[in-house]
Amino acid sequence: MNKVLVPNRGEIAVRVIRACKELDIPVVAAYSEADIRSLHVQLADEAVCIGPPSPLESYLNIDAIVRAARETGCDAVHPGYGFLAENDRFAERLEKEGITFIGPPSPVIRAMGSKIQSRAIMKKAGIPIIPGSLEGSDDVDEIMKAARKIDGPIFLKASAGGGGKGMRLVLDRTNLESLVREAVGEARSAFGDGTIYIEKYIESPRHIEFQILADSHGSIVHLFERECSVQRRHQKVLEETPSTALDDKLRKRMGKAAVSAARAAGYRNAGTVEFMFGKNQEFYFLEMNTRIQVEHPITEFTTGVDLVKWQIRIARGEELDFRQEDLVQRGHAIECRIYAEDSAKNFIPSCGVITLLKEPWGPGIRNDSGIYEGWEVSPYYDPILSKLVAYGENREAAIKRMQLALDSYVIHGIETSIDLHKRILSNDTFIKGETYTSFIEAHQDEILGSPDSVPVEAFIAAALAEELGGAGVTLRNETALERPTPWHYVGKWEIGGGR
Amino acid sequence: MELTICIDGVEKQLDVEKKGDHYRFSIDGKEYRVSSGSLSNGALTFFIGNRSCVAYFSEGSGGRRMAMGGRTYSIESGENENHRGGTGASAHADGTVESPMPGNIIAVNVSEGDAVRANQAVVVIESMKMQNEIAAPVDGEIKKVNCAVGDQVNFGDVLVEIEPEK
Repeated sequence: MNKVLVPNRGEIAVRVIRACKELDIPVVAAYSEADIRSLHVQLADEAVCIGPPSPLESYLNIDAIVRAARETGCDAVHPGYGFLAENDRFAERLEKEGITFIGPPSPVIRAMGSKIQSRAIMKKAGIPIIPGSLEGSDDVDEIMKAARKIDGPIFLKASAGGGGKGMRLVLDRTNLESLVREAVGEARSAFGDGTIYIEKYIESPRHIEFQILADSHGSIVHLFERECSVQRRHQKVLEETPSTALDDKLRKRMGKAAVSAARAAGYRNAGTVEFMFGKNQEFYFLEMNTRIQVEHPITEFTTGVDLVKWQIRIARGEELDFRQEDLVQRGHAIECRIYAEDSAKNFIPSCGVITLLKEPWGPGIRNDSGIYEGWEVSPYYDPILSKLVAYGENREAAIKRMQLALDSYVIHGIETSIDLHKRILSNDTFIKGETYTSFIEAHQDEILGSPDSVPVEAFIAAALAEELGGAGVTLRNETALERPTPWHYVGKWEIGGGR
Repeated sequence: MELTICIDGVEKQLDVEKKGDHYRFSIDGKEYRVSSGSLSNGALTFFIGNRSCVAYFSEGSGGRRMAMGGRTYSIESGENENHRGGTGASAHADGTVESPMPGNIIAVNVSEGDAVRANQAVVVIESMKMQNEIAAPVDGEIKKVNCAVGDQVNFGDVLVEIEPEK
């Protein structure tokens, strides 16, 4: 492997670029016009523009990406997550072009990408699957008809993808038609395929997934679980490992099932087997994610294995140098996804220039970030800004570290989910480890309610700033950040001039 | 000196007196001895008694912001422009529906003359790859539709005007 192209953006592009550099492989960022000033473009060895901001014309444009790989002499592509990471036609095209796709073979992506096919494979391999699976359709009337055949609450899910896009929970049927229309439309625009299927809704479920690594020499291991039950709009918000719901016996059983699932799929590279975990400790295969997961850092903390580097090493034919019995889970890790959105206003996306950024640090803290002060968050892409990860000897220690890290994380200019995370982490039910996928909804009054009263220190700080502000203090502002010069930040004001 | 400070909509009167190397603050009948380190690079360090405090300030389209102790506050000037910072409201009781975010219009569910009910989705905006339904704030009749499918809209753009039902 001589050079890797990364047709992705944000924090995951940064993560992949770092892994390439650590392995001494030159790395090229393939970016859209909207990302010319983005962090990953600055960190890559080379950068090449692949098109306009619209994802369809850039990060989803297979021809443009292949052309960029050719022009820059890349013989491998790391797709990150999202965009083309789970697109079998993209992987197949690269295979045909003789470019290494850092991920599983295209037929595996195709089979696992179809919820219907993947379920059939898992059923055959003896892995439990969720009841009520049906053929998908992109016809609203057909989907309505299929929905009427299942009693009780159902899920509408996009056949072609995950991440909550095109997904709707139907608790009562009065809005069914509009929900079906929304799901089809969202799936079509996110994946280019509006096919929706229906699944029975499991009560009080947890979302627990197992990390897999499979090399091309027949070795498959699991790297234990991640608990991803805290979600909003069916998108993960906070993940942790180990899960509070599993004991060693159950963990072993599920890990074994995950390895069997990967083997049945003919899997290679890093992947994740997602399970729905019911209140009677039953578990069902949900789907297999054929890419690196957003939440991979928590597994890296507790196992000490660098998953992104292993993706690259497996893709260039290396053999895993450890076995299942060598792997242990040590300590506890939590990840908070920092989104650009307003939690208090139904999580609407928030864009704008980041006017102030203070990033947390300290023992056991890792911040996978794609932002910097002065950078503008654009409306074109996913709202994920960074992933704050805290590690501790146990869950309590990890929670405490995360709380302190969140307290020192300052992002101004846009709304973020930092405050939401602080409230989740101080919630009694969360602290007890009773996290179900309905957690945020069930506790929204505490988690999304109005904040506590303003403390007197805040008034003193504001008054001091106002006082001192009159003496020529410059606050950071957007116009200044548009054209940052070193001189803007220079200058120190000290109180009591005649000190 | 008297100062009026308004944070997150809460207004307080502060009496500030400079006493050599420190300040004496009087708030709600309580006194505080405040000494300051420095204000630089957007950060203010100071002490209330011995308590060490740091606050960060910034200014943007959302107004003036302050971060302190893990919370972010909106600071309004004493004169009070009657608007609070943040990604403001998208709907008014008068029936104007504004875009709460920049994005692409992917559906317009109403036409001029249509009757709508409060909370009925009138427009769908796609932003950051999520579809967001924008609802009517009031019962009424659609007076004007200012957007069409495919339009790129910005924060605060008026999407639809509704004549509220009397």
